[in-house]
Amino acid sequence: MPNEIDQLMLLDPLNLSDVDLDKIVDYLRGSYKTHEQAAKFSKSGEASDKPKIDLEKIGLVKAKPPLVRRKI
Amino acid sequence: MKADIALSPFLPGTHIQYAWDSTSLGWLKTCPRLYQYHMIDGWSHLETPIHLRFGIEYHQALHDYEKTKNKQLKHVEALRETVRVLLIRIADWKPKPHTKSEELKTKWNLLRTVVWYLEKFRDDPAETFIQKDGTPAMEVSFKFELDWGPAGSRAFPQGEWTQPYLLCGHLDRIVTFSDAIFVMDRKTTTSTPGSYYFDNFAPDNQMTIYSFAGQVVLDAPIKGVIIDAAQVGKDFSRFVRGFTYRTPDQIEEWIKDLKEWLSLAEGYATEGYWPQNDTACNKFGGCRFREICSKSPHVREKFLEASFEKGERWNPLIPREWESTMPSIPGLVT
Repeated sequence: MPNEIDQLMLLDPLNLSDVDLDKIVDYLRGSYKTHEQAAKFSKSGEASDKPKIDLEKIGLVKAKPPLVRRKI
Repeated sequence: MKADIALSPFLPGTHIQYAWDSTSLGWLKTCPRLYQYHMIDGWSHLETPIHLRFGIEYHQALHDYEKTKNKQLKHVEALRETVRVLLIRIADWKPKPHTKSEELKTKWNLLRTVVWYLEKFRDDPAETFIQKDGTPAMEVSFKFELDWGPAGSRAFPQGEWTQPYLLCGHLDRIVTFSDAIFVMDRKTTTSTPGSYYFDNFAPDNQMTIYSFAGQVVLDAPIKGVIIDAAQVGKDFSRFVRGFTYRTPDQIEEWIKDLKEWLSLAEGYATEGYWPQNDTACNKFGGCRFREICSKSPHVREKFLEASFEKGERWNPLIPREWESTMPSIPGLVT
């Protein structure tokens, strides 16, 4: 939470002006948008800039043997 | 004050309860002793439990928003007023968490959950049902008679019931969704609202009462209940809606069972003894009276006096009155 919002939250709510309240609301609306966008990207995998770990390479998962289909 | 002038939910001069709601019935079904402590003796915890307060404030804030929005205010203006009154209401609230789950129910997380919910459902696909009198079906209090009453209220054997049982309660909101009518019930949780969470609502006393009551109150076919769950996390809030349905057969079975439960309650009241159900003490994170019940019967009263207070007894007959916390807004015609 930014320092300014933090400070506003410490004030007596009866002393908060419309401008103060709008700052709190805007901050929360902004954080909602950021969270939603992050959730969308992580679902589709598009914007994930995290390095992918190959578990097989580091020996944590055994490589699956190739599937052989028998001819009948 | 209201409890003084309100009717008692008990038959005069007895502990036989004739007006029931999901809360008091839930206590009875969970443990008759729990029911006794709350309903008969009127014990309540010295501090309002954090989860309860959080839920009340969340409901009230969303209700305030709806009311303000209905006064033709823009979304951002309605948000501002909702946040203003919420902050005023919770200014003196100093939650003291005892569990990990309670630690998440902070004032800031409450504020965030309210604003995020209203952002997410700004254009809600579930629209509030408009009742026959033209009013939106929000916070609908209901009270209706069942077709039987306590044996003690029968003037003479096989005679008419002088006082039938009443079923009372409140529906958060009735909505139309995908061309069907649903009761919508809001819940806050710190666990993930996945299938495991929603499976807990079938069977469920409260949801069956809502399905039954919705049909009686609206005189219209209610398809089911939408559980409007808000997950409260450390840095996020998440909203998931789940559905629970009751067939007419299931409701009929529930009423049949209710007859048995109310008969048991009348028996306990006549005997003046409400037994412990010691298999329920650990449910829902542990009963608040577990510490009391673990003591010897002759010292329990002393321990009750130390941790609890006798206040207004829960009264299902008092309709939920949403506080008019919204300040008058200059230039607004109401």
